Amino acid sequence: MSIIKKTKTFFKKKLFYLIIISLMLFFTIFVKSFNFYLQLVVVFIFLYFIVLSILISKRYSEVSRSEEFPKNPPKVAVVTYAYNNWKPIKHTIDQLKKLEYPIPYTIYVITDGTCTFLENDKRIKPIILDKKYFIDNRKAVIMNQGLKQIKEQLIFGVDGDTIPEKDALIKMIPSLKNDVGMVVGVMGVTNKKKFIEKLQTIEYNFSFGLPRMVLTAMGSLDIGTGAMCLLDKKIFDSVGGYDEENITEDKEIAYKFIKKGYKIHFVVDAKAKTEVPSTWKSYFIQRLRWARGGFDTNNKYLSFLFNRDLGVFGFYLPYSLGVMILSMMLVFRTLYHLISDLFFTIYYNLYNIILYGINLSDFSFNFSSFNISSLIIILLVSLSLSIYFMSLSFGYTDFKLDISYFFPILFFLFVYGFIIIFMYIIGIAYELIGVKQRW
Amino acid sequence: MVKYRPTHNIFLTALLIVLIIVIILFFGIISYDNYKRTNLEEDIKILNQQLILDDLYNNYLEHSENYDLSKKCNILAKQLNSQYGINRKLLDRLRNINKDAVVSTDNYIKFMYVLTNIKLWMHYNNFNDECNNDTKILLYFYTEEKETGSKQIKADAQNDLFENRLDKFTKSCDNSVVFALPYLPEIIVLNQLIIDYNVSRAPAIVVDDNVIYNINDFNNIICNK
Repeated sequence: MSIIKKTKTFFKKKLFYLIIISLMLFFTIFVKSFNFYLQLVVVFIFLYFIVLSILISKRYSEVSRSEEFPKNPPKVAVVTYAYNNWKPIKHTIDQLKKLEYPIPYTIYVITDGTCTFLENDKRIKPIILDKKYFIDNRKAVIMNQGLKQIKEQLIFGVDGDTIPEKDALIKMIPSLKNDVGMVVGVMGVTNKKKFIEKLQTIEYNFSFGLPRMVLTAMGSLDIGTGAMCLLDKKIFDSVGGYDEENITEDKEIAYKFIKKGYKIHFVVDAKAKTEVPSTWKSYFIQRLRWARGGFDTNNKYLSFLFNRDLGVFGFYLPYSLGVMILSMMLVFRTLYHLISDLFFTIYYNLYNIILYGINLSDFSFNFSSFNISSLIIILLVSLSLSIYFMSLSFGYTDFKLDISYFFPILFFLFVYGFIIIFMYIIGIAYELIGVKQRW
Repeated sequence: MVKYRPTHNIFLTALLIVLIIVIILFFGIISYDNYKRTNLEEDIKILNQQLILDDLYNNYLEHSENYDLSKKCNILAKQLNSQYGINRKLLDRLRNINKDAVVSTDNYIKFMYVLTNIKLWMHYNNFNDECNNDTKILLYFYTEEKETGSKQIKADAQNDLFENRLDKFTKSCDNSVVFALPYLPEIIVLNQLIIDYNVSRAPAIVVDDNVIYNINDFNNIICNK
């Protein structure tokens, strides 16, 4: 790539982030009050997808159900990779051996050669790569190299910490036809003891339910869930495999497939469980990676916006990107006002203490910039619709909440969204500044 | 997958449903807002009616052949107590309505409140003079900040401090009454009071013809007249 082209790409990339940050700052500093009319516009935008999703889920409820298995089963390569994950990979491999499939299949384990327990297992075919491919532990690099050595028509990729159900593969295969280039399933959670794990259990069971089904129905599913996916090797090769520069390669590959005219399909009957971060620190690291990788992908495929050739996706993408940016603007503004109100309240109360002497009962804190009454009515309506949509989604994935989820679900409803959006804001800031990406 | 592709109708139906929800929300919230305003307005009107009734009663007694001052004072004391009870709650309600207002309106209710409050204050003063009563009458000017943000927080912090101390004072001084007024010289009648009592800033308390700006000076107020 020439220097001019590189420079152009660099500024184009930064411009995208700069515009988003400018929008957040403009909304926070120059829009004096987030008044009633603005609130209604925001509610309109947010509720549209919820209502549309509810309608689609009622009208096209069968779209993500598994279909009839083909008479001539295609050859499938079951692929996982082992590197620094010896403990969970053994469990994953045991489960991969138990997969139901009418014809024999090979389990490929991509490794750097240090995984000795694979050597004596005849069902497994290790693909040993040079250690240099494992340096940054980038899945895209490892998978690209490993998949080069596979000749089967279809790839069933499973992460080393993911446990698919026995019938996952057999339920995904029938959907890989016509214009579908990749099939994904439901992702549950294996570790769900801690509060943070329960939160992610709720999130996974919600997002891997109706939202994905709705997106599938609209031909707009734009993520290839790396933890478990079935893809066509020919298409995979034709798009040049995973983007090794992107830290969310499973999202980026989905965009490559879409660009080629293929769709991603979600099958709710194909289930797997995966391990989620069990500490807030590891959670934030993962989410920051997802946020940065997601924006990186959006930035790379801006030409998809309003692209009629992509069908509904060409219009869903600007909507979802717009909602994300709007959410960031709202959260940034709210945080700014919360912090500044708190600062000024403490400051002026301290000032009064200095002026008049200390008497704790004299002081009361209030946050003046909230317009509570109208917001509460709007929030209640939005919350009711969201809860209804969530309950539909839980029903769709057969997820049942018990009493131990009481506080996590409250946290999920009222706080979790802010955390996710906050991670987007940090992600954007990191991208603008140029903080090094890590897988 | 072609058979599942959603039609345009579903997108339009969703649009229509959301539009209906938003319209219901719009009118629902506006109506609720108006309901709160109307309620407050009604209460102020009732208070005004009672004050008119006091005037009428006063006039009637003055021209009556059976003028009995002690009887008049007893009745007025009861009337004023009940009016003061209603009046105390009005300020909080007025402030909440102003803060939560979804659509900015004219200052009609605020003017009504100010006028009614001044009227009640004058009635108390007359009552003290005529009936030789020892009710401690305090006029409290609070800051009303038009701008939001730090200026409003500053005003709120000062007002809160004043009001907390005033609350304490009125609890310890049973026979005291406080009339809260915004410090708004642009309202003619308020400006007259501000000039007459020489109030240079808010929050401030006018008591016994003196102006207090420092909350620590509340301790110097003598409870009895």
